[in-house]
Amino acid sequence: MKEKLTIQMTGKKMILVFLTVMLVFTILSRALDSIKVPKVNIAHPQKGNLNYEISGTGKIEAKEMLSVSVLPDMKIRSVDAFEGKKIVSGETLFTFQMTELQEAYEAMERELEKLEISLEAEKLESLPLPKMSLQELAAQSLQKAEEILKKVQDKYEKAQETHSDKLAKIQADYEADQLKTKTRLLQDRYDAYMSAERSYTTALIDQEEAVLAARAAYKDAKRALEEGDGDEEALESEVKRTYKLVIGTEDKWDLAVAEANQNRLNKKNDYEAMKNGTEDGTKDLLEEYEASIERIDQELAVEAENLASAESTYHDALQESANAGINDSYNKTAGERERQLSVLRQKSIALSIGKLQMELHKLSELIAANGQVKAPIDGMVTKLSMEAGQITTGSEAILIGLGDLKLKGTISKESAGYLSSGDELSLFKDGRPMSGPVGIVESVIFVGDDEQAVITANLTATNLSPGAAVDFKATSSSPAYDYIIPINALRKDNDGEYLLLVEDRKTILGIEQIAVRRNVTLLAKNSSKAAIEGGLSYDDIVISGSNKSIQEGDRVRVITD
Amino acid sequence: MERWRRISLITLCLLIWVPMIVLLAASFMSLAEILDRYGVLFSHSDVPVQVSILPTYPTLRAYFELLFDSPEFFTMFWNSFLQVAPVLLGQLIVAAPGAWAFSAYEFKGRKLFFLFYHIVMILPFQVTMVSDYLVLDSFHLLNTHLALVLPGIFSVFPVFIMVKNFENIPKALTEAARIDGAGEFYIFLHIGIPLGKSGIFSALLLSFFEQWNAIEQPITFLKDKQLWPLSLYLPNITPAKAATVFAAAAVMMVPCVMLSVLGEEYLTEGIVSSGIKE
Repeated sequence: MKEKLTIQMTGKKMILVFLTVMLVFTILSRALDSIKVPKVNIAHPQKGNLNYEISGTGKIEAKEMLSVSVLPDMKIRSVDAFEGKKIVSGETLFTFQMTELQEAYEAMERELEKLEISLEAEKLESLPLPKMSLQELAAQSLQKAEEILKKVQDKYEKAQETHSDKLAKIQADYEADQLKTKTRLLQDRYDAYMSAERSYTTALIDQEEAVLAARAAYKDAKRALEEGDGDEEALESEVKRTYKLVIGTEDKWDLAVAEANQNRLNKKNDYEAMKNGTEDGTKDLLEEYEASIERIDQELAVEAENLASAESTYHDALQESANAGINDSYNKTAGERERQLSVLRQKSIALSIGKLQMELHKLSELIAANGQVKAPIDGMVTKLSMEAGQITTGSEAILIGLGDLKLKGTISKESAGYLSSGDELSLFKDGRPMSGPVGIVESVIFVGDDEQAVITANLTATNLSPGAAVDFKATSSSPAYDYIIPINALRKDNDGEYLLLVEDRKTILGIEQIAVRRNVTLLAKNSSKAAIEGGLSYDDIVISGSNKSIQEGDRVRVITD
Repeated sequence: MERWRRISLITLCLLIWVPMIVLLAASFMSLAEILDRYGVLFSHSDVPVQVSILPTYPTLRAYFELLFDSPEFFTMFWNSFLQVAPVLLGQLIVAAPGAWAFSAYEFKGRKLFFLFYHIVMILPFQVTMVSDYLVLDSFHLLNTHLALVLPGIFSVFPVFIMVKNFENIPKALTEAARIDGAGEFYIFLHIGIPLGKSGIFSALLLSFFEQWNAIEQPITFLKDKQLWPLSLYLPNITPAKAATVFAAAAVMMVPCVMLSVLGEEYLTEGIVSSGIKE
């Protein structure tokens, strides 16, 4: 039990010691931390205005300018004026080389002549020419085609009649010739047959006689041999010869009889074919007949073709007659348009002629003045970009400034927002204020996406030289804002502008000063102050500077001077 | 055999100490070593945690920095003290009589009320968070220490622990006191509290641990960082002060360890008695 009490007492002591140690370290760490706490400067939001000083650089310009035109492709002999020179009307500005002026004058005269000829040619071309209309021409063609068609139709009808007659005659002739030919042919074939029959009979008789004679000679030779009547060899030879003769005669006459018989049979067949009607025998006649028919058909076909051609020509003429009206209308419109175009061209040429005549007149005046170009009015040369010996291009600038002066300069867009028409500008030359001239702002123009704005101001003095560069300054005051703070107090991050305020926070260890974030909206600012809004009060303590980087939630220590 | 069993059990028990040893070892490491080994915890690197129970080059720099150069640590420490001490005192004043009433008296609806206590006790904070917030807001207590103190004082968990403990006091003892002429308050003070001491202490100890380590309640009810307790110091640390994390954890652990040692007997008795029926 005693041991238990001892442990409890020790435990209680340990807890007390622990708490005491923690208390000591708390005090120590606070003391050390106090040294490290960022020191901050503070400010309170105030009502007021923002003042702006706007400065920039500009150039003096004349308010009105007169441009003197320069002839192109001329050579400058001398330049008498220069930028900034005050001139009076009639004073020589520069002089052209006379040679080029003369050449230009002659070239211009030739050009004028060419244009006048062109005008005459154009006038001639626009005169109307007499001509027959397409409709009239088509009517003539149609009449002619109709006449031809009629003639061809008549001719065709006649050809048809001729064809019928010829066809009938050919048919009649053919039938008559066919009958005659058949009768004659039958008789001829019969005669041929009979002749062949007789030849055959004659051949049979001749054969018999020849064979019998040969056989008799053979029998005689054989008998002579048997009888020994003479030379045996000769007799034997005679027997052989006569034997061959018998054989040869028999063969010869067998062939002749066979041929005669064959001829007889052929003729007989021909005759019987004619007789029985299986063969006509009038084929040539038929071919001749058909050829005749074809010939007269061709003659008729030629006429038919002529007729079709004439009909086609007639229809074409009809169609052409129908189209001729439309084409006449189109041609009439086109002709009218061409005439109007011609009139316009004539006017254009006439205008060119007028212009050229004027230029010629000016050039002649310039030549008369020995090439000298003179100032048309009193003023100051503000720009002159030419020199002696130069060949002009026509784009050379000669500007003569007239009357009052103005200042044209650039300022930043941000500054431009604080300037308005009527504000006064102070002018400076080489850093020193200019006595006398003062600028009154005429306009402030924002140019595109540039960060610059163009300011134009009227000058109250005229003793300045156009083209001179001067500095200018202006002061402007904003409308009153409810909350204005030092510009250093304004902070910005991804969430926008904000302030860090000092707020007292009660903690267990006392009151601490903490940096608290307050989001605000920036309304306007200048180089030292900013106008804001965003739930502020005039009692808020705004951190405007610190000796260390601070952020929301940091402890801070306010320095009061 | 008995010896080997003892050694193996001791070995297993030592495993419970590993996290604490690791924590203590890390509290003696330099910032560079901390970031090398535990950089991933502070989103400083992708290298996995390399646990070590011995620092390569032991240093007291983390403790020095914590104790001398971290005033916000002490602000939070005393905030914790301010938020926990009133809770414990309040629970002693409110919960002890309440628990005595549930255990010593029979009254109509006693069981029903105690059932309500049960139900409220088992509800997690997330369930009651919105209603707690609305109530505290309507009483304008949000962003004050009272936002944590008052709900803590009226917590039902200590009542539950104490009731079970008071119920172990014999009824005959209180009856005898009444017969001898003792009043009810006298009986509570001279019989209830002395005999239920272990239960009261265990309940208060458990409440201390709960309040000391609370994270959700302060985050929910305290907007101002100047009011935050020590339990929120660790989650808000940056890699630049990573070395102080483990030192802070070690220091933060000290009161819990000391109270555990001091109240170990009461804690054991109270918990045991709350679970045993007469």
